[in-house]
Amino acid sequence: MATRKKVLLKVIILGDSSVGKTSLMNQYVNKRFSNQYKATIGADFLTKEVVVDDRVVTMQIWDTAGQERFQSLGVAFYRGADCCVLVFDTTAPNTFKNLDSWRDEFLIQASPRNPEHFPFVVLGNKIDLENRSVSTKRAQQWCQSKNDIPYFETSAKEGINVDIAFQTIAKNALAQETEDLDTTSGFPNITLNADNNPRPSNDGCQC
Amino acid sequence: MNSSWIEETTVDSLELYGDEEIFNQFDVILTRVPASHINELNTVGVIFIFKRQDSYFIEWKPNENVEISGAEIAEESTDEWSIINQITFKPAANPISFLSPKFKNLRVALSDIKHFKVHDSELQLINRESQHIVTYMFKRSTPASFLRTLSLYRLQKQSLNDKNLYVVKDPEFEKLQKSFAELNIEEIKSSKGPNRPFLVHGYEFLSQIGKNVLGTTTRSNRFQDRPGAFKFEIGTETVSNSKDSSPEIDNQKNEVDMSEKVEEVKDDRLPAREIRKRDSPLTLKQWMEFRTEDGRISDPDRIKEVIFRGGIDPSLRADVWKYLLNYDLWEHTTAEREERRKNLHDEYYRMKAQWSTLSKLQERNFSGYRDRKCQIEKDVKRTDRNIEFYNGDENENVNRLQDILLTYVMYNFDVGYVQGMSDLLSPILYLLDDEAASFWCFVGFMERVFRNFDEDQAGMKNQLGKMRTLMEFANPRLFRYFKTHDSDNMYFCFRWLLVWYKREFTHEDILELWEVLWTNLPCINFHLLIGIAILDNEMTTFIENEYGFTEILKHVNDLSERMNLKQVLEAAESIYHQIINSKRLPDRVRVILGMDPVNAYGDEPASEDEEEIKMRKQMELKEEDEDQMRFENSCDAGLEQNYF
Repeated sequence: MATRKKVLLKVIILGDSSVGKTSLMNQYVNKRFSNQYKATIGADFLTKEVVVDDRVVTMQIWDTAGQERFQSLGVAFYRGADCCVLVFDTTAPNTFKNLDSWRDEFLIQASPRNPEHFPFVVLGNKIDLENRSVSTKRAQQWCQSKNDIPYFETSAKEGINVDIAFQTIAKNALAQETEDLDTTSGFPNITLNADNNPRPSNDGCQC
Repeated sequence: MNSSWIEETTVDSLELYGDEEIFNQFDVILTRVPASHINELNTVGVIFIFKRQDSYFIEWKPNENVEISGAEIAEESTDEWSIINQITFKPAANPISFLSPKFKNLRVALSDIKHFKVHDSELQLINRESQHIVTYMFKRSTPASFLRTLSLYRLQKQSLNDKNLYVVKDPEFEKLQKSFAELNIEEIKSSKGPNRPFLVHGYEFLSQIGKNVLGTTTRSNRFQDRPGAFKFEIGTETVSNSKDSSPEIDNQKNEVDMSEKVEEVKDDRLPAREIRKRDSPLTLKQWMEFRTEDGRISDPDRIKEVIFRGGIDPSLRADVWKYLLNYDLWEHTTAEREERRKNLHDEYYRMKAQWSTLSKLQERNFSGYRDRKCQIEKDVKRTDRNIEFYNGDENENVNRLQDILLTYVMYNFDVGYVQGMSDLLSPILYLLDDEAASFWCFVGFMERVFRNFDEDQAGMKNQLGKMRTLMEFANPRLFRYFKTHDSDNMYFCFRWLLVWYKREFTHEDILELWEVLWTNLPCINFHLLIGIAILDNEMTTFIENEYGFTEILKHVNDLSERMNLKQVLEAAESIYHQIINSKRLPDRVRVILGMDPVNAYGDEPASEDEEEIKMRKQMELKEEDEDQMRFENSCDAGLEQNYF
């Protein structure tokens, strides 16, 4: 166990202001909900260790500001992401309509190696509220049209579906990692003269 | 405390360890290897740049051969913090180890490399026979900081023709090219050789041996010519260790002065840091003394000085804030003040009526307003709800926050409402408890900071750039650390600057910090020096824990409400005096602190960044002008462009 290689999965949570990004993250990591979260300024993250397919992985979950103009600094935070979580508020149709631009913006800014296959997960949050206005079907359709993005309906307040959603996020992020390794295996190996045996001797390298 | 890093620069420790690591980056995969390393193909590892004597090496080590510090702690603890350490890699005790039978390290001498080619996150290594020998894939990053580090040491230069090509300097070639006349004699003369090893990092010291050959002259000397970093350390020590005992400071200073190291320090750019003690707040008694019979406030400059030194007594804070935020004017008599207040009061309710009388249909047809309103509604509900004034359901003060912000949308539709603004308003309303007066005070505050809310974030980017420039000058060591750890974008200061540290200090402290900053003393942009002081205080933590961008950001975020305002203000003021008393204060720093430029470019330290600095300076000067212009124009009622 101690010798097992550690994996760090970087997850970015995006979505309109006030859809519950901070709350979802805190519910998942700290099992807590508070009415008193402030609007996120800049970016912050929490980490959590989880076991996925028998492996211990560390998830580093990034929470960002929701107002659009703050995304121009996003690139510094998106870099190296393994999974992107798109969140909307099931009671606010606009937040659902904006998923498209959040997805596009992420792909542009993070420029992952394999954009078509980059793992996204969509969360429709606040299902504990009564005034629901985005139907499950509508959300599912959108997710299907985007290469079958997994979709979960959550309540960060009640803790509904939060764990299972993040388990999927971790799993897909890990798969992305592994896939990345696989896709690089096709390179030819070239033999060269620079056979520098990396010996720690003091034989003064040529300088 | 400062001894720990000075020690590591001694020749002894260098002899012990041989290799000096100047860069590392984890999660780098070998996607092309020489046959000797076929086993390592597609293996994840860490890439290092090492220096041994005057030669540089690029070494990739599989994760197994690298100690991962903090991994054990992470194993047991679920604390969010412990995990961070995992991504801090340290080379295993023996830098090159064959203990692991599975994977071998791959070390290449830089002198064998002709150039690097960059392709997305891949870095290709081409040898002097023009053969492509190795490809590193930077999985979680890009090769940018790797290349930047090499460039920092003047070992590589971007090709002029191909921006993805980086040419490695050939020492043999350079040797021939460089005649003695080309060497920077001034710098050599000014260096008092024997003292230097104590002042700088080992690799810099050693780089001096071969500098004329390797062409590293300017850069390495540049740092050596800045033992300010060293002295700065002493300053930090003084500030942090002897907050309440000035005699100690003097002792310490004397001690240091006696040592031969400091002789060199004396003629350096940054003078020693002197502690600046905070004073007591402006009292009612003092305030009344400044009040003339007809109600004018005499000598506002003196009042501001008192406020800068000690803040304002809470009992008269609300009164004085109105002056600091241009709601009341210092020169007004009681009668004039009443008159102005009445006009502004009416003006406020006139603007308030503009939105409160919109019909549902009008609102539906006015998306620019609707969007702003929607964001305001979301944000006031989560602004300072923990303090009693805003606590509880159906809180009337939360509604007042909303009304003021909506009226501000009408007052300046272009700025409108952006997240963060509710944070700036909340303490004002809390203190004044008067809607119209709070609105106008908020307007006064916004006049200082509206560029923070630019649509394209230009104002924020500009400030982060200024922060970077100040850091480079005020604390070169930390700046260099940031630079080599992908952190010189200073993004971790974003929240600080956007809302003037509102989230970093307790509610009570924020009141004092803001009034201090509103005095515009001792200079403009003093709020940036607050940030420099905070970072300066965390320097040891960053460096000793080898924090990268992620960890620095986390650490900085977690300082929230854990800092001592008094100490931060004292340190910021000390740094200010240290900077302005510097003998070689470059214009780019002068301009940020509101001083006139003296000698455009003339006193710039020579470096490969010269072009960059020039450009940045020109941009900054331009931005200053623009700032001014926009400041003058911003509140004109006539602005009609709608950026939606």
